[in-house]
Amino acid sequence: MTGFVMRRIMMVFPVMGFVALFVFLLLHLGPGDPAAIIAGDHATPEKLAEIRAAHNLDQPIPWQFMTWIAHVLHGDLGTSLLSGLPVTTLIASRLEPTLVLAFLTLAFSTAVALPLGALAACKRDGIIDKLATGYCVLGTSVPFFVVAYFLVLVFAIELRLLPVQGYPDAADGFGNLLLHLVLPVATLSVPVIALVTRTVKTALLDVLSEDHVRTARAKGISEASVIVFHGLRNAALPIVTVLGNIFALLIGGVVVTESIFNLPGIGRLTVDAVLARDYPIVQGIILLAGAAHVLLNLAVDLLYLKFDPRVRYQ
Amino acid sequence: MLSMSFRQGGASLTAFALILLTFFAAKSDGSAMADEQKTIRAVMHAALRVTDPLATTAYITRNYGYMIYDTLLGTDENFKIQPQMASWSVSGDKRTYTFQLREGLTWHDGSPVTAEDCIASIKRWAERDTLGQRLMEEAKSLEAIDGRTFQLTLKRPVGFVLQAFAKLSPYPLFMMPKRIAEMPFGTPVTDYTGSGPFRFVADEFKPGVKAVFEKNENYVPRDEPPSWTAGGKHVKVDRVEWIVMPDAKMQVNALRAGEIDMVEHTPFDLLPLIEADARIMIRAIDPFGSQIMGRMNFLHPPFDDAEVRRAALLALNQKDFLQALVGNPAYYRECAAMFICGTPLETDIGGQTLLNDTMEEARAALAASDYDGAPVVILQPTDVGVVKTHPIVAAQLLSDAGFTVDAQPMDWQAVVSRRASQKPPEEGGWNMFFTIWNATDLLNPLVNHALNGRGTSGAWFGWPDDPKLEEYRMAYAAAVSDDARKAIAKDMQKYAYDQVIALPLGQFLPQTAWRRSLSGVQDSPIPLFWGLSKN
Repeated sequence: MTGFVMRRIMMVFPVMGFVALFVFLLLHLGPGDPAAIIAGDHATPEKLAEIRAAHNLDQPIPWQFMTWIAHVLHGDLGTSLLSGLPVTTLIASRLEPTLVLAFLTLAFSTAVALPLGALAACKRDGIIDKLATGYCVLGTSVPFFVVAYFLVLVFAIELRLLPVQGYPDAADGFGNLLLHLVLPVATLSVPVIALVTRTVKTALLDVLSEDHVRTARAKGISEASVIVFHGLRNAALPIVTVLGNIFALLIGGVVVTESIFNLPGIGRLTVDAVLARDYPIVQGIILLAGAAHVLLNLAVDLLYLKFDPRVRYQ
Repeated sequence: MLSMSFRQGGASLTAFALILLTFFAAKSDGSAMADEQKTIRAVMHAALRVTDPLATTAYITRNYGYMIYDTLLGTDENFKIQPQMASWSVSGDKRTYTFQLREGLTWHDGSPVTAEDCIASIKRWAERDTLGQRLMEEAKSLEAIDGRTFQLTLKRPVGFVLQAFAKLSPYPLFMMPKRIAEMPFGTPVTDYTGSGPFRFVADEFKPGVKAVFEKNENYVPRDEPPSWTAGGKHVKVDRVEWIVMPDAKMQVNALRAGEIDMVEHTPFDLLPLIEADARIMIRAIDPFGSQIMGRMNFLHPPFDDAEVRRAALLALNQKDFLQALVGNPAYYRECAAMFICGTPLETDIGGQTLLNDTMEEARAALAASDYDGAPVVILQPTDVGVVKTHPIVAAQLLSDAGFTVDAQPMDWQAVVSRRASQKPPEEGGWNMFFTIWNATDLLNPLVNHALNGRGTSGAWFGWPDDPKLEEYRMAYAAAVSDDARKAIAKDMQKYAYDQVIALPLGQFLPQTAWRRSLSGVQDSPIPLFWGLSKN
């Protein structure tokens, strides 16, 4: 088991190295010149050269990459080309909304999807199953912005029950913050619930057809116990994998939802930085998002050990 | 199963009760109401990211400058220059300008504003601003007389000293403490000390999200009524928040819901949603608005040939561009004045073809020229609403005239990067691009960058190398009467149209929407937050 864990951890480093190199090359070899963007309407050749020199953009690409990596290894992701603020500060200031949104979405979606998927599996081809299947198709097909605008129109504009947008400071009232997050969480949860419900149902159907479940039922164990302790537990692997991937995706920033509801999260920071060719910010975010993906996959792998003892012996 | 259902039902009820509790807790929190009345939340046209007003010509940074810095002189709604931080006197030979700071001026940290601070600010500004550079070329000395007085002595009399000091845009002359003004360019300005009517709340600054300003309690406004950047800057609220909302529809929704107080530029297509809302006021507070501008590249064929440029000018007409961008004629104005309609230098001389359909003449002119059918590379931004329609319209009109057009789609920042390239189009350069200018940047030959003729070393993108343009600019700078300035501007515009130096493609008026709970909204080319109050 220790070997399994160590192997997984050691794989993190080459993956992160590849991510760093890929991101750096993608940005620096792509179109767009930060110096011209900074210079604006007065971009004379002399001024462009001055700006490039000030930000080391005139140095060879390998030199820039090595310098950046050296700083990253010291925990310094650089400074924004436009605002001059440290990238770590900018990312840190945007993490909270994204994390809160991701946690709430995942918690709410799981709370709804787990019983819904289980019910659909237990009552296969019944009315609940058909409704759940219909919802899954709809939930994964309707774009975020359609759901978002619809919810805003109904709950914020017409009924005036919820705020339209924003992310107030939690210090000014936690209830107020929660109210502002109801619509974004609901928007994001629509496809997440659909995805998780479908996964739960499929995984549970596989497990429920196995011999040990039939044996459990034959022994007279209640249906609820069979579902929870014999069904869901053994169906946990694909569910945990999907939840892990969804969480990593949400942490990476949900651009459309953050933009529509004016949440100052990582997604908006990423888009703004890409459009402004603010290389240090983009590099920093993608590096951290890559790290989040890798670490969450590692966590999922470790959860496998908990849910499936067979993994320990492979 | 039954017990499970009960547990689920109980959990649902608990969750519902919690939501209701938080809902009512938030709704019943009346303590925030008083603060609400002292805070203005405005969605501005762009996000503030750069806080050095001389590091960029971005309008949002300029507007930020007007919040936290003050200017020596102001410009009022009649284009008259007025004292602001300082009054002035001019010697009989018009070579010596003496400026005296009014009493009681202090920086945000409480220290007094001194003549040395002003001199350092002027020198910093003159390094960046072309008008400032010209002024320094004419200056013999700039020195402090005492703590509140300084003197500018010129080599010869020129007529633009006060215009330069009071210019609205780009690069207004903001006063900074000497310690900031003497920092080398390229060093980010993270000391936000100014002497303006607001102070910047650095702790709450989130670039791309929010910028917060608080009332400067120590600011001493002038006694005169406010008028543009002149007069008394009386701040009547405690706090102004500039909020960035990337989604235009949500800006309008938030305004309707009362979550924000103002949207600086409401997209034209969304105006019908709020026009009937009695709680909301809509008006173009900027009386001149913005001008659509097309620009050709003078370095490479086919637009290095004046005959081909003239054929292209004949093919374009303002109405098509304005209809595509704005639609409603109430919000635009066909105007051939390079120095903007409604200003002292307004004239349509030379530009009448832009106001009419002259496609037949364009075809004939192109056929008579040496144009060989080479593709015209047009940079076509696809992501920014106010600039994405122009290349499409231009491509159609130029095609109709007989040009071969290659419109290349890209994002706006790619346009910004690529327009700086002086290479041929086939090597990553370009032939034509479009942008918009705030009218304040085009008001006269000295600030209008499109009419700069200093070629690859100093002209705006496209780089026309035309000494005659520079002669006009020098003459305008030396002119000492309004009549002389008007005559020079008129001749310059006629010449610029003849050589097709710039393509003014119409003036449009961005609409500002605000809740009627705001009062004191001033008409001005710069969005002003002093004088505003909230009920």
